[in-house]
Amino acid sequence: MKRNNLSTINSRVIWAALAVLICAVLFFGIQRLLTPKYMTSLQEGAMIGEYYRAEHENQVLFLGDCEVYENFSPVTLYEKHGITSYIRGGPNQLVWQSYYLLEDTLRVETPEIVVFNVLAMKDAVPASEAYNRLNLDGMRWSRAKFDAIEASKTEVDSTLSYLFPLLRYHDRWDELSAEDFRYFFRRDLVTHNGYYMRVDVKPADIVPKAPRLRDYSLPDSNYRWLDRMRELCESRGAELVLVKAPTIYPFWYPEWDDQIQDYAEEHHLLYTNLLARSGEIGLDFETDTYDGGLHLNKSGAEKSADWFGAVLKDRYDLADRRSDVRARETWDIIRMDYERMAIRQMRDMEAYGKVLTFTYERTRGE
Amino acid sequence: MLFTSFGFVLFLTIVVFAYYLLPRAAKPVVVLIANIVFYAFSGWQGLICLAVTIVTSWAAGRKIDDLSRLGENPKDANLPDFDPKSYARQIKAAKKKYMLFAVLLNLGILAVCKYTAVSPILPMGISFYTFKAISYVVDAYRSKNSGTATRSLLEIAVFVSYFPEIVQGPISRFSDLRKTLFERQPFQTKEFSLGLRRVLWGYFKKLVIADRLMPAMLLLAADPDKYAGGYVFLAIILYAVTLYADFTGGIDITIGAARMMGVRVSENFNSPYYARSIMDYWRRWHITMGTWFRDYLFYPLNSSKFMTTVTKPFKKLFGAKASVRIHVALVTLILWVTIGVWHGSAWNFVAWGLANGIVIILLQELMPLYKRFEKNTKFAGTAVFHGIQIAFTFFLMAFINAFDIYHGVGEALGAFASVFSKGGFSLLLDGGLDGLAEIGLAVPDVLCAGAGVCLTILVGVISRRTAAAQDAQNAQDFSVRICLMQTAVLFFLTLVFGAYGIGYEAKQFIYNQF
Repeated sequence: MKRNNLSTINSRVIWAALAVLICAVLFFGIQRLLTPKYMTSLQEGAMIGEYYRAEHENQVLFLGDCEVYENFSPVTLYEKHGITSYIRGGPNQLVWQSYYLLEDTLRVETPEIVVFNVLAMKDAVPASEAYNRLNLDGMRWSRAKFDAIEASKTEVDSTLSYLFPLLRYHDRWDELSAEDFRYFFRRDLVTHNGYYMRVDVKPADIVPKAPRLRDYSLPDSNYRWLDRMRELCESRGAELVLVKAPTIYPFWYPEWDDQIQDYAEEHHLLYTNLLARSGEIGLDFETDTYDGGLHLNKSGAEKSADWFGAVLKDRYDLADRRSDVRARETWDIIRMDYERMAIRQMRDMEAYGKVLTFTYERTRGE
Repeated sequence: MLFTSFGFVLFLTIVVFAYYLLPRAAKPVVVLIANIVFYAFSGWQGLICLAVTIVTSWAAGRKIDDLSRLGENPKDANLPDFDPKSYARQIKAAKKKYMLFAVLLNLGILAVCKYTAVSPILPMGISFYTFKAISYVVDAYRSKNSGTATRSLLEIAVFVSYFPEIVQGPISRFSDLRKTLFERQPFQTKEFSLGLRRVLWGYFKKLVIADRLMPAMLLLAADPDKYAGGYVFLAIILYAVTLYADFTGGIDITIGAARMMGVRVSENFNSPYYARSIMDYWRRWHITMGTWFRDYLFYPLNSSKFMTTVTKPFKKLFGAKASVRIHVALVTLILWVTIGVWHGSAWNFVAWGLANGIVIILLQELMPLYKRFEKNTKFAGTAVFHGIQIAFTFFLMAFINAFDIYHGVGEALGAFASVFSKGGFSLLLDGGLDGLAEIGLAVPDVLCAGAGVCLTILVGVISRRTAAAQDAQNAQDFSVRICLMQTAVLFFLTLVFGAYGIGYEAKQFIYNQF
């Protein structure tokens, strides 16, 4: 009798566990299918998630918005200076999102230098839910992700919909395309260690005049986030470096520059305004930008990386990883993919007059 | 707290867990705390009105119960001059005083809060909990026996403020709800899984059908000049479908949530769109409201001296038989206008109530004619004829209910008229799918809502067919596994095809406003 009862209980438990498992698989399967893959358009959405597929032995971590992921080439940093780096950038990435991405990164590796692009210091509120998604959806579940959501969510958002994106994208069933099925299990890569490549050229012919602002003070709340970032770096033995990437606009006002300069001096941080040094870097906004000065192209990103790498090597005691066999192997593959992508984009330009290739499959070790 | 919010799902989960994990004796306390927390989300000020209703109903009920006990065991029964009839009259008069006090006070609070600008707030669910409280006190008064009212303030507080049904009913009776609400039941897989499935079914109807169609319906109703003719007809049909899915969906969530905790809440619908007459419809739609008005307004008014006095002159003028019909017709009209006003203070609701009353009176007057037709014509008994009756009732009620959606009586009547005067359906037919997309009904919306409606009809047909063999719920061969599988299917269908989240405005249930 007892044995019968026990077997009934066992069978119930097994059945319940199986049911929960099937439901979970279904849930996450549907979620995976309906969540945008960002492979054929809006590739920026795939950037944050790519980090988890990369090697986590980076000396330098870049944080910030498009001014980092389009303006610095990690391949150049490695090839010219032996510095291993990764760019955890996202479109319109806010200061606190950078902070939580730093927390997230420190869970798996501790870079020696953390480079933060200061343009985000001007924004105290999220631009839109869409930008939040591009920066947060790719993060893996962690305390950092949860806190980033709480800090970023707009009035129309719910935390749950960030943790379970199906609640946000459930109505994509009517716009499912071949892309959603093709990239169901595995996505292609869109960046080269966080760098988003563009080889095309669109000169910065017309630079609009910077509008005057009523108040040039950078928001206090952003300084608090910057403080937290600095303290976190200190606690992990990393150096925080502030940069302003070399793009003409969005405008970077001298008043903002002074405030960042003051902050850097007060806390003994390195602050480099690459825009002010664009002549020294060798940037030519006739040839080194692909969208009229908003972002640099590959040529520009390589120049700024080369120049900035020299600055870092000069100031900090960064080992040259080019002679490290393991790093060499990793970076050879990254460089090959990088060069292949550049060739493909050039071919696109010749054939169609515009870049069409934004994704690639990682080269397997040869 | 919206039933359709993630907050409510989390809240319900916590309550259910607490309900089963804490000792049985603590269950009423758990429910009361849940009621208070749920209510406080709509603003703590409303809790004051709710508390007044609870305390006055409890006090009146207790006094009435005391008097009933006295009536059952008179102290002076052995005295020689004891007159039982006179004693009973005295007891009844005293009970009546307490009953009237509680009823008038609570109706007064309802009237002030709902129909005047004096009150700064409209407490959530005031129409529903006031009616529950009134039925409690009146039932105690009417009962010949003591024990109808509870002596426990906790019980009455739990009953009146019961969170699943406070926002839109059903208007449960204390005698019905107390059987399971205060029973110390252990966890029952069957009850829980049936409740869960019912909750999911409610969410499916609300999110997949109602909330997907509602924006289009509201858009059409907002501009009857632009959306005239066929669009008005479409708006009316959309409202009929939306109202059904919205209201029955909300009640399903209510009944399911209660059942997950082993509490049986009264059913509020019985396939209303299968009704073959408007009277039949009202026996199937919002049943607890209908029976409440029947028991606490229609019957007392119909047998009141006041109405007898009012209709007395008709007896001389038209004879006894006709005066009885006039008497009933007048009471019916008063009843329906009151029901209309209960829904809201706008003229739309008065017109809606009047329309219902007039149609019911007319159909009742035509009843002998219909009976003769039914008796003499074979066609009357056929499925086709029943289908025609069902369709006629559906469209009739759809038109009457459409008084709700337009901004005024004149606008509603003008819109109705345009169906017949402004080119019928040409606007819709010319516009085709683009015309539908223009009003916010893109092809995926139509597909989704259409499939949802088909599933609802299918489930309705199946449950009607198997009604005799169940409650499916009581059948011996009931399978928890199948029930949970159905629940999982509903969960995923609602999750993917529901109209919720960004891009969809979270919509309150239509009946919450009443």
